[in-house]
Amino acid sequence: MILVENLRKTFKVREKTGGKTGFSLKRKTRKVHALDGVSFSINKGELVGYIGPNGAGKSTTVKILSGILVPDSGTCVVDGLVPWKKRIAHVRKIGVVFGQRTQLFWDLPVIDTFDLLGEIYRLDKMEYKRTKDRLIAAFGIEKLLPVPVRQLSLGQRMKCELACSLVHEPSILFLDEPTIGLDAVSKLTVRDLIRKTNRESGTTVILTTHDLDDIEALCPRILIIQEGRILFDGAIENLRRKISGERRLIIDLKDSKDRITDSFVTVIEQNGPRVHLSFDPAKIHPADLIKRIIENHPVMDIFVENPPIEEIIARFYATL
Amino acid sequence: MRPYKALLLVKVKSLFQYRTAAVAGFFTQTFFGIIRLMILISFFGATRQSIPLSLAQTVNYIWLGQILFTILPFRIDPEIATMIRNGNVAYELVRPLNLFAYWYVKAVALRSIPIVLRAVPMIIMAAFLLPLLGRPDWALQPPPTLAAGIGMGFSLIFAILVSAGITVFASLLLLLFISQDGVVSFLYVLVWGLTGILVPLPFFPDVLKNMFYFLPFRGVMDVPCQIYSGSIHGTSIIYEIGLQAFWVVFLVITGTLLAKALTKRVTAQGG
Repeated sequence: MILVENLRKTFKVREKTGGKTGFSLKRKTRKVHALDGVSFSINKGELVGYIGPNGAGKSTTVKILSGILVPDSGTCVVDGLVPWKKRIAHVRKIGVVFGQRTQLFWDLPVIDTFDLLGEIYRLDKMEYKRTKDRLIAAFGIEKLLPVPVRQLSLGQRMKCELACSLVHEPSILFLDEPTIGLDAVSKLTVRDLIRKTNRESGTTVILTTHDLDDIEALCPRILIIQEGRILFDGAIENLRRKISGERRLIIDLKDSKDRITDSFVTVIEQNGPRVHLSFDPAKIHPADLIKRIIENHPVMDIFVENPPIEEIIARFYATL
Repeated sequence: MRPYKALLLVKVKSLFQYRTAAVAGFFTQTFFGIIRLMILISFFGATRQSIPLSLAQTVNYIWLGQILFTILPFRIDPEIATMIRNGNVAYELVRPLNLFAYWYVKAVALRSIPIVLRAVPMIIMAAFLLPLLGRPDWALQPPPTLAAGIGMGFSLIFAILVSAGITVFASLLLLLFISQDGVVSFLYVLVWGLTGILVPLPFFPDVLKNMFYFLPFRGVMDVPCQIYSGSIHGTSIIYEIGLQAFWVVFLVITGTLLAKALTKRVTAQGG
């Protein structure tokens, strides 16, 4: 459904060297390889997280896939079309949300943008009405419709942005940092809506984000890009295993003076009675380890957990 | 056509919100109208050379120019300029629309709706209030012939279309330059000098007047003003409107090509 092969895109960055006037006869340009041979393929109905540090090439990829940018070389076929060659036919089938931008008419009520998009995509009147009603109900934005966009909160606006990008029932949805700047509750709502769209309408979703909770909550598969190259493609679990097989054990001891010493664990930290341990499940089965600890120490409570995804990714970036 | 029609309506709706600007514009354009009149009238008294327009024609030319002030392509659509500056223009490119047509429709609304908002109070002021205030010689008069009135109507439609073409052209150039300052100050010079808003074009020397025929700018204001005031009359009305139509076609074709070329190399800024 989406096939990307060896995409390359270079930008020229003008470098201005200080100076009092900012005027210089020598104009230096530096080439930045935003994409340096990116390849991947995504099947219909997948929900893929696309992550990487700032400037890694995420947005460039999304812009190429959505037909806005033309790559220097490489191929890319989305649903049988090359985006930049058949831009108009291509964009009819995709929905795009750029979290840092807005597609809504700032001074007009949300419903006006909705209706305008219905016209722009030349939707059948009945069909448009059905989709609109469905989206309004699913997104719970009925009350926001008559409000001028400038008066919406960011969270409300993002719900409307998402709904608007789905008016023409696209088969692929590109979300570029859709949760950026949102509060915790709005984030959860937006995540829910993304999941719903993916499951109920079978929409393929490509999500770029820096919020790794988004990724963990939503994406069975992730792509990690760094300096224009794809460095990892697979499930988060695989990444976790690849980076470290490590597991975490949190133990609340009865006696805060108690110290755990065991050859299979390393103590990460101890705050009063709460001890954070790490261990390798390949060397000792979690159940055996817990049994050993309970036998030797009076314990109030135990939790097993995976190292947080932030840590995994940070460690992954660090290994590069 | 459906998307473009809907887009026009939405744009019209949002432009009708700028009512305060229309009030401010009314006062500014009235003020400058009177100043321009006073300057030209004193010129009429001071020169012994033959004058290309009669006093009555000049008065009509100037008032119509003031009424049509917002038709002038001084500015790039602020909405589009902001989009290009901050990268929101990306959204414009993910719509199944021809970029030139998309922006052209917006520009047509931008160049016509503000006129609608200002025209009625301006006409009341210039045609009815001035005679009451004791200056019937400064007042806007009806066109000398029916043909002049009708001709002006048609010419005005083409003037809006020419101006919208120039506006989109400037917006497209912005895709190259990103910041609008340079493009806009260049436009300023061209518009002030070449449309007849500063000095009616018939007052220019012949060499320059002939040059103006090779530029689209007089089609934006000078042509409808001259038709209305009667200094363009008879079959020249048809010829002049034809020339405006040529410029519309020219701007649409070159603009479309430019848009195609630029979208191939556009970079959306920021993130």
